[in-house]
Amino acid sequence: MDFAFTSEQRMFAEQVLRFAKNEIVPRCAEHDLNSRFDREAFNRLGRFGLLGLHFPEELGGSGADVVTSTLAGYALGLAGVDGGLTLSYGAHTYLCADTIFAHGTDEQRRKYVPRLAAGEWVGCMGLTEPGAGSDVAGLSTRAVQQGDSWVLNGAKMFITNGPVADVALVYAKTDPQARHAGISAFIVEKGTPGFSAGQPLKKMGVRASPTSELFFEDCRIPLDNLVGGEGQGFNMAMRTVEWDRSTLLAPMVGSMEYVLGKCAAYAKQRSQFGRPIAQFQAIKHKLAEMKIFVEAAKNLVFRIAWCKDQGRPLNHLEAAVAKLFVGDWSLGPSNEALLLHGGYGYCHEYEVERAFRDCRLAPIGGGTSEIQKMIISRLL
Amino acid sequence: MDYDLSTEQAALREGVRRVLKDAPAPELAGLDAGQLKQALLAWAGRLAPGGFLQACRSGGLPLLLAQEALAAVSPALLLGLAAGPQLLGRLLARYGTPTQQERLLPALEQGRGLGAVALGETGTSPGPDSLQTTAAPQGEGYVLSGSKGSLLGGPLADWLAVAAESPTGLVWCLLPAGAPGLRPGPRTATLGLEGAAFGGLELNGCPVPAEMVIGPLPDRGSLAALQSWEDELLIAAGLGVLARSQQAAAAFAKEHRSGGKPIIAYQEVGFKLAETLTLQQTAQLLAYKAAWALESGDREAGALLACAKVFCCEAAQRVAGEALQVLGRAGFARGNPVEEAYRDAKYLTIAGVSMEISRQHIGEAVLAAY
Repeated sequence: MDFAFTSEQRMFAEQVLRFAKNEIVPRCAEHDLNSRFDREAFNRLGRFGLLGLHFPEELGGSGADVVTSTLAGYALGLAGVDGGLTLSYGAHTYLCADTIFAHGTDEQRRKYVPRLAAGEWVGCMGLTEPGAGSDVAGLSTRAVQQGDSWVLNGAKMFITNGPVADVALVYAKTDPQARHAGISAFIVEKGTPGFSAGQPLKKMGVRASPTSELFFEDCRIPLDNLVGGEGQGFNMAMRTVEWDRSTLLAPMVGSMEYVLGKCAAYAKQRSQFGRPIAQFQAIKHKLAEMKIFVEAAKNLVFRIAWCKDQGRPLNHLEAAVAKLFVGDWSLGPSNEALLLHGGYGYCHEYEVERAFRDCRLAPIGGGTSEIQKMIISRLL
Repeated sequence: MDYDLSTEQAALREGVRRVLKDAPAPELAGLDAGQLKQALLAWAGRLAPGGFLQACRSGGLPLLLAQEALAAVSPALLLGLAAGPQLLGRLLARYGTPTQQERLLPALEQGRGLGAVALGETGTSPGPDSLQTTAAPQGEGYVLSGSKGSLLGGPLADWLAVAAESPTGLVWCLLPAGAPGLRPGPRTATLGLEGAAFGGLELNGCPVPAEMVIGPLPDRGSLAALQSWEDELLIAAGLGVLARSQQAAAAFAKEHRSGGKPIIAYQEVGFKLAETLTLQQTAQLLAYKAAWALESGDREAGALLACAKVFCCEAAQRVAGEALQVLGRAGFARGNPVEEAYRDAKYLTIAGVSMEISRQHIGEAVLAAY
């Protein structure tokens, strides 16, 4: 057992940190407050190589391992990038682009992956539906083969990047009688007749990440847009869990470490009763709560990443433990961070307020805490 | 980065597991001091050949893994066995003279004797406050006067290291059981860990020859060091309590039926066990990382140890409580692993550096880092 990153990984994380602090962070607050997707920041992530880090060079990536990719996400959070942009980056890269990379045909890979990796196109993944959230097998969007096309009908809900996506990876039932085995995945491009996105949903947090419904009304797409074979959709969606529990959780943990730094700095400069509040035990107690969470969560997230690098099949128990811990146990420290700032913490201009709102998604998105408990209790 | 244990890292634990496989878990509660000492020495004799006691001196991840395995069977057995080599042993190894080391370490590490360290006193906190116990110069040596509060392993110890204030600084005096002027108090009745004997000491003009004195030391670093060594031990005990509670609760929930199905099938129970397992796995990794950091000289090792202490020991307390809830009335009855774990866990949050002081240390480390 060895918890150290390689010197290359550390150096790369430093580069990402520097880049994000200089090029991304100054733009975050405004986009969060206005609930606006920052396409320019997204393009910058693409130019820096973060949207396709683990893809091979010929597809626009740099062939990074999963730990390095997770570390990059961590560094974005640590730099102070808002949870909205990191969510959009994660959903685009690991839920959409990677699924096409991992399961697509050579032609699909060549057509979509380089453009997604460069940030030229924005990707989204459509799985959840108004009537099917945690119960994936219960989804009702239908895909029916008609001649040389697939015809999609149905609706998707809470789709990250939905309003801005150029490419949607959509899961639909090709065999309504079969539950999980009847799900297949399709690529649907923006502008396809019958495909539309709803208005961006107004959300509590991750506001710079646009979320919407997707609608499919007799949406006709070529047969070639089927990804990974008929009936393979559920397995493909489950494969994204590894990414979700590593690269998508990492920015949340990194963000908590960023918040910790902000809290320490504030506690040293804010004086009450004639001395900096940092000198009060109650304030150190709050800092300790945050620090313990960060250190505990880091190990869980990087364990998933490291195991994937070893080529091991996903350990569902460990993945659920990581998600449950980050989801449920981040709420307390983020609350402490806000309280440490007192009235200022309640105001938009302080990052702790944004972090408090952003981290409320952690026990909901990508599999609720209740689903994680269900998985763990079944595996016990 | 490597999340797998190497063969070398796991070797000590495997040795402990082999011993545990051959010998049934001892029932330590209810034994009198003589019987308890006999039982602990018998176990020390079993574990010494595999290097367990010797490893207590150096620490690190292999030791934590081995201690976790032992504590999963009996946290009291771990504390009773390891307090000597880990606390007194390390004190001797770091601060003792070669003569003192030669005289005491072999007995402690070969399982021929038990040791304890007497630091805490009623009414003061070691570290910020001066000790009330005094070491007055007499000839080449000192005379000890004072009293020590209830200490782990005190009533059974063959050798004790007693902390005292001399006119020129802190000293540690090494005393054999039965030394003139050393009067052990009665064994303290405790909430839990009944197999690890606790008791105080009275020191009434207890002479200590110069060759059995460590110090006077130029600073009070040995006090902090001792508390962090104790924390390492308590973290291992915490992991043991976690494993014991989780295992017993999960087994019960699969076995016990209600409404025609095992109670684990109910979300109120299954989800509770999911939360406790999450705490157990998270605590394990955090403790392993802290041990690894100490071993590799990581600059954050001190803060990580404090994080692990708080998280593991509070998790042990919480998980034991939830496990007891799962067992219901069966858990409330005396003499099952979960009610033992529930009582044992409380000590872990009190001893060593308390949860409250640990959090202060973590907060100070954060403030220093940013």
